[in-house]
Amino acid sequence: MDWLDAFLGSGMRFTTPILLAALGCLVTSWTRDLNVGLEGAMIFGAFFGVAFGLELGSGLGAIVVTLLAAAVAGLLFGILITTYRVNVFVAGIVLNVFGAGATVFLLRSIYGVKGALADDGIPRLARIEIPVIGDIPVLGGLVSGHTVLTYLAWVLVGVTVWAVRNSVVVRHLKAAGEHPEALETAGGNVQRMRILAQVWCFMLCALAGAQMSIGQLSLFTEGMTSGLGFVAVAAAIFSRGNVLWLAAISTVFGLSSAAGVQINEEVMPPQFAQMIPYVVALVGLVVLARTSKVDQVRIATPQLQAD
Amino acid sequence: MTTKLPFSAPATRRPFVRRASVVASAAVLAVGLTACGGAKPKASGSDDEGLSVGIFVDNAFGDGDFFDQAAAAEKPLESDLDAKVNTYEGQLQAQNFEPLLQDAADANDIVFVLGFEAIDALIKVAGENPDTRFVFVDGTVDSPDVVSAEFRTAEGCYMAGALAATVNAAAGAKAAGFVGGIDAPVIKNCESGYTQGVAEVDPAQKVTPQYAGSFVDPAKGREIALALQQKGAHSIFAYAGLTGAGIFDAAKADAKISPIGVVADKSPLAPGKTPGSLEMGVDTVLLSLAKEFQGGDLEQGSQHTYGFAEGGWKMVYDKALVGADGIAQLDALQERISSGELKISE
Repeated sequence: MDWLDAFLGSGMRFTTPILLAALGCLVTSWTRDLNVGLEGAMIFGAFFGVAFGLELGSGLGAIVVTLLAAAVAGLLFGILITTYRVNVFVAGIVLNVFGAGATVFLLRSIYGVKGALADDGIPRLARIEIPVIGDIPVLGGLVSGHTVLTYLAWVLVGVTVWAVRNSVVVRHLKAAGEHPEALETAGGNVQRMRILAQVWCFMLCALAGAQMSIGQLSLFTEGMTSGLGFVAVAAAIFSRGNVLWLAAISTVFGLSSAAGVQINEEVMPPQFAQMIPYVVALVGLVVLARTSKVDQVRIATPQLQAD
Repeated sequence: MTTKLPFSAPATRRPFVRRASVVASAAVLAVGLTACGGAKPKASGSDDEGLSVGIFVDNAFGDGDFFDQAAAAEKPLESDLDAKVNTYEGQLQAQNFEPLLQDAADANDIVFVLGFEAIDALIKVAGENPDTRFVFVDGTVDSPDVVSAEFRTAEGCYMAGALAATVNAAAGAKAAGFVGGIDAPVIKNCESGYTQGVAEVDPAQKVTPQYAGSFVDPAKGREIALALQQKGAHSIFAYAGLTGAGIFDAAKADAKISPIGVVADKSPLAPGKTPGSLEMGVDTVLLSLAKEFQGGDLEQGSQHTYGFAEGGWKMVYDKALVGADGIAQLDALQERISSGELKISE
């Protein structure tokens, strides 16, 4: 059963960055400012995770500083789309293009390398081996031996589920998207909620990127997020605002990515093995679209602005 | 060395430029200013008595890979042939390829072009500038105006396979991993050579190939390395660009695998874990073609192929990991390839 353990462990590692970024994106879909720039925010997170890691020599320190930087970036992005009324869809696309270009530029101008930055000084987040549980077949591969960010991602799933049911903040976030007038009347601040959603999104995307560059690996390469940000956007859209759906979709995608890596030529041609995650995603999209009753996602700036 | 960037490059806005780049930026500024002044770019190459060699890359130097292997030719070109070397970086901006290649044609006697993205621009500019000899490196260009230099992939990968089998035999492993970027003919050629090399050293070992579907996905590379390890592979040949960096990272961290690199010596990615690399002798190819050109022997439109015999491939080994005996046997095998005794089919 070793292969099953290896497969599940691999699946969990593929799932983590998607889940983190999708959790961030989900909140922006509540405020109806769906951020499609996750890929860009992730690649920045991956880069600065490595850059701060080299500077500080500590993986956790790098995570903290990267989070702070991401919060500032999210604040700026939030102000852009609220106060300055930049269309959030356009801003998200710009963020993707900007992230891809800027990290290459920074890599060259700071470190003088092209392509990959691998250095012994880059820290790596510790893998947490859980005693006892780690030795149980199947469960061990699933639960043990991951970085702190993987566990954090699943804790955040729980926290978000709880917050959706019980917290005022989530109600305000959703109201800011669905009924901004109602929130205004109730004394809430629509603009503040919309900015908060972007800050949260950026912070989680930064974690997703850092998980790739200093969690799974200890290096940065150009374009290393390789489309996972778009997968996360898709997961957030499919889930139609439901956190558990979102976790399930992310996990299915992660596991099918792991399956694509395990299946070799003898079983099926590599082109088809690499297609598995996307086929699964497409089938999921079709099924969900058929069962969807409301059109929840509107990719446009809401009518009521902060003025 | 003067590195010409496109004129629009914001040279003055870079906050963290290294010293070498400062010089380059100054050169850009100078070029930019003369261009603004209306001075024509001067055709220095054909007027000077010495040889002028241009090296054009479609992306940029500093990749620690293919392009840097080419840049390594600069010193020997200057010292051995007393040549003046100009380098040009396309920075993947396709609209700049033609003007940069035209610059290169004006300033040099022979221009080496690296990178598939630039082939169309190369064919056009080479046709318009018959006085400059253009050489495309790492592929065949279908044009009578361009000289092509190709590497015999299967031959190089054969030795990588032989190394993999040797390291496996010492570790008692029965499978040699092969990670390809995409399922394309040139990679399949390599896999074929690799498989023959493994079989030559130890017919009992099998090859476990896996294709990543991407050249830029190190996270996937690492997962593939772990999956191959799970299937009993010890040596893993990474023929997958940046995806391969993930395989070396896995070896550096926790996987008990021996990654084998290609193009450049990849041991810095996993020091003490990398038994060897298959180096691409891009510098040797550039130097020998420039020599032929200087001697007047480089025929227009000719096609050249390079293997171990011509210095197109080189093996580098980590003595501590492969052992003196292993290296001696591998060298003997390589000698049989160089002498033409051993033929490797594609």
